[in-house]
Amino acid sequence: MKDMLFSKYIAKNYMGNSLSDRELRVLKQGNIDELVATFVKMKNERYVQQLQCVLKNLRRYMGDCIVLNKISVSEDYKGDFLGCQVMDGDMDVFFAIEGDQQALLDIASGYAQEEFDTFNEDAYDSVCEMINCINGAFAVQLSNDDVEVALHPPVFYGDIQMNSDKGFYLVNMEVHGKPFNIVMAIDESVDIVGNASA
Amino acid sequence: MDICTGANEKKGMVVAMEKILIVDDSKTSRKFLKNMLTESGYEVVAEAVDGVDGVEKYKEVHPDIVTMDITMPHLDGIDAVSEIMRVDPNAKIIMVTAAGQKSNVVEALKRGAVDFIQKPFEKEVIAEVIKKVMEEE
Repeated sequence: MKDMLFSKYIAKNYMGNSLSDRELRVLKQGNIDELVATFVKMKNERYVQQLQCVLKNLRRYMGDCIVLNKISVSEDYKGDFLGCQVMDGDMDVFFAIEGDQQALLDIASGYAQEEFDTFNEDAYDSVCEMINCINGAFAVQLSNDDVEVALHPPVFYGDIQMNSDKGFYLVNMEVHGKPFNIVMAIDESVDIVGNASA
Repeated sequence: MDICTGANEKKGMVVAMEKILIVDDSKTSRKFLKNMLTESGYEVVAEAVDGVDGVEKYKEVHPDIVTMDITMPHLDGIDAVSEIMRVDPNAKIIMVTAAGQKSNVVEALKRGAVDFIQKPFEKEVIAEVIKKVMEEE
């Protein structure tokens, strides 16, 4: 395998299973689109497309320090800090990054290419800008499929609780060994209670 | 005396760098853009944090070019374009937006913006757009 992005996820979810020749080839090649399409089962192809876009962009902005752990569907979640953005139009898309201060400081520092040692407005801004760029890239992909969406400004919350009747994807990852979550929902409402910071 | 504008300083020539005003509510975006513009040889003369601030700074510094974010508090980039064009119909405003926001860009172009660049920023693309805009003078 070329890098660590998928190694933990594969080890957890495919341990004991024999991999086909094709799966082994995909693992060896390390193409993120192929890895997601081959090893991740999601509700529909849009989520697969969104996750491919998210992981490629995280790799682009954060480098090799990110690791995929676990993907689950949840109807409620309590967390520390959350930067999120909504896109609406032909499709409603919710995307967020949630984690504790240490993980989000690493993400903010990685994206802004400067070391943040306190979780201040500049760090929020960096996380929100990265979210904006990731969603922008997904909006382009949707537009290529004739699905037009508009981006709303990213918002940052502290001490959050999320709820959704139909559930949202919680993609657990690590940055420099520190856990954080990607939250994704398409055409499913997510309610957030928390302290809006930006 | 020969005057060389823009990024390429030539020996024996007076260099008149284009003056640029950056309007963006994101400090991270302003920093990225300023670094790339400076590295490309342009002079960032002022930064503004929203549309209202952008219009005020435009009146103060009379930049050659404005880079204007679209989604901002108080006065968004599209309305700020209208305000600046009212002040100076010859203003050269380049819109800055996240990828995938065609309708906003089209509206800004209708109001008088001359071009657009998309986030995430790429230095070569930014330099090319600014050069093109200046050559259209």
